[in-house]
Amino acid sequence: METITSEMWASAIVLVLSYVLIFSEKMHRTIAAILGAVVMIGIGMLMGFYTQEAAILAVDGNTILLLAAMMMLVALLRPTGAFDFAAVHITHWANGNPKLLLIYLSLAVSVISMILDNVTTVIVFAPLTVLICRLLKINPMPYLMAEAMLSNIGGAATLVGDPPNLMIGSAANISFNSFLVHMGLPVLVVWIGTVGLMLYLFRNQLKSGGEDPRKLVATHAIKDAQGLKRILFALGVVVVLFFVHHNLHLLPAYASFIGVSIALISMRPDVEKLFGSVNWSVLFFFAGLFIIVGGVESSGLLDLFGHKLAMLAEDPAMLMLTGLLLMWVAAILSAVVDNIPFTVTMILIILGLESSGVNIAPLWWALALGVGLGGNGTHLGATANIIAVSESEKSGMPEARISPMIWMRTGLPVMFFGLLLASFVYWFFFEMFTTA
Amino acid sequence: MKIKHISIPTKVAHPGMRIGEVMWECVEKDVPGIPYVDAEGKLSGRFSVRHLFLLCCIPEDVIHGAHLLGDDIEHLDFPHMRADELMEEVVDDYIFPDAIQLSSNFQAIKALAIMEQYNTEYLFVTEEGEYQGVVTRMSIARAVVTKECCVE
Repeated sequence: METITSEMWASAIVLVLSYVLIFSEKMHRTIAAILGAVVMIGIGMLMGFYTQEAAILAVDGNTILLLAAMMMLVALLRPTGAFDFAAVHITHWANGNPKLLLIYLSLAVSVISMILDNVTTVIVFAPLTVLICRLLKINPMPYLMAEAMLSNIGGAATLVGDPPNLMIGSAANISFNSFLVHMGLPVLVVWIGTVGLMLYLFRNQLKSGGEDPRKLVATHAIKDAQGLKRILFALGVVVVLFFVHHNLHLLPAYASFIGVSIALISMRPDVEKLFGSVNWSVLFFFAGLFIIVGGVESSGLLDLFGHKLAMLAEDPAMLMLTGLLLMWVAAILSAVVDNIPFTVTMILIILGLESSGVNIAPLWWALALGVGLGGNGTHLGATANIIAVSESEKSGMPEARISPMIWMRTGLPVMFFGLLLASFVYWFFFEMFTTA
Repeated sequence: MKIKHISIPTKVAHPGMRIGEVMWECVEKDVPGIPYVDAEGKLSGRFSVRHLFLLCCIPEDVIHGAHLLGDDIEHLDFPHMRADELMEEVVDDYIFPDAIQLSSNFQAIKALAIMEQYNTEYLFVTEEGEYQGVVTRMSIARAVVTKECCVE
């Protein structure tokens, strides 16, 4: 297949127009994705390269259902007061030391983001962080930025920590353990480097006020102790199942729904309220993208693209360079545009390379690292960043306000420093990245 | 019980009025807010004590974590909590455009239902487009307790 057919052109035009609509933000991205999906199916049926059945099969049910299940578990955990409880104890451990507070808060959001949705983690932690800083009379800006960036980095470590990872893991059939083993080291190195860099960049703002630290009190932090125990048990079961899902031949989505079932039976929540808290617009956005890119794949365009790229990646010596290039391109694009459409497209291109006999394992890890780290570059690079910016504005403290320029002054060094560290680990331990 | 019998007559806020003057009217008449009449004489919004506090004194993070605050927070320095300066500011920047108006012939039960629907404590009563006063939950309760509700 060497020439571009009219079907390929048609699917490419629908894809490009859909992405232009999504990135231009002329309309909500979910509306753009649904519109693009409907047009892709319609044109595909007319031209004979795509069917309704193929479109439904193109939607990665494992990704969508896993996301929905995790959203439900977070919605059940949040009102119990678990996050408040964690924030109160972090303040106590830091004992008024601004640097320790930054490290502890960053560590907490990173660890939580490895299992739970990092956007929710930042939504919950950001107002608490401003309040803690208000009590300590310190500027919350470094903390808000650190939380957003390190939650993005923490989420990159696991299969369920970040939606792009979910998509990559699902498409490449990578287990939770394999993801943690391969991504753990680079993410750990990047995490340590980023915290160190942030402590240096914010050294002036992180000076102790020298006053007695006022602390939050834990007395009323836990609002539903019984509910907390039950949801923690359900989450514990999910985490254990994530570690063994490959051995038990369970899809991550099924493993997470086992936890949801336990939580639903033991907690008996208001089901309407629970389902109302699921972010359906995100799920339909993903489904729309899967259908759009599925149409491009059905037209044969991605195969053609993959064959061209395969020439570059076939040489084992060039494979590492291809991986590094992919990581940096993915990161830079993720800093300026939504990383999900890019990830969905790249997944199919990488899968296309496999049929050309290329070892695609290093490319999965490069893609995951790139999209995971790239979001830190600008305030629009990740949803968690936007929440941090919005919280800084709501604080009413002029010194806390994070403008796009202020974000980039820290975000770009953090992103490039992280990429350099990740590239070094990727290069030095390349052998490890040659397997999935 | 028609609300024209239980509404509390108040002044209205005008462009350029000081917040202190408007707040005093609310405090004196024991109402949570009063209407704002623009330069053309049209009732175009409301001044609300609750929203003034929300805008000037209680940041969202403090509301979010109120249950976590201890007793030693007297040092909390709200950036806009400068009462004297605030009272001297003009009211125009603190006006909310949504002012729910009811005809004076409405029954109190309907007023209570609309308060629930809009999650508010008070409504403005008008008669043929002219502002008559504020009806609050407490003014209805007072009418019930004092049997004023028996007046047609």
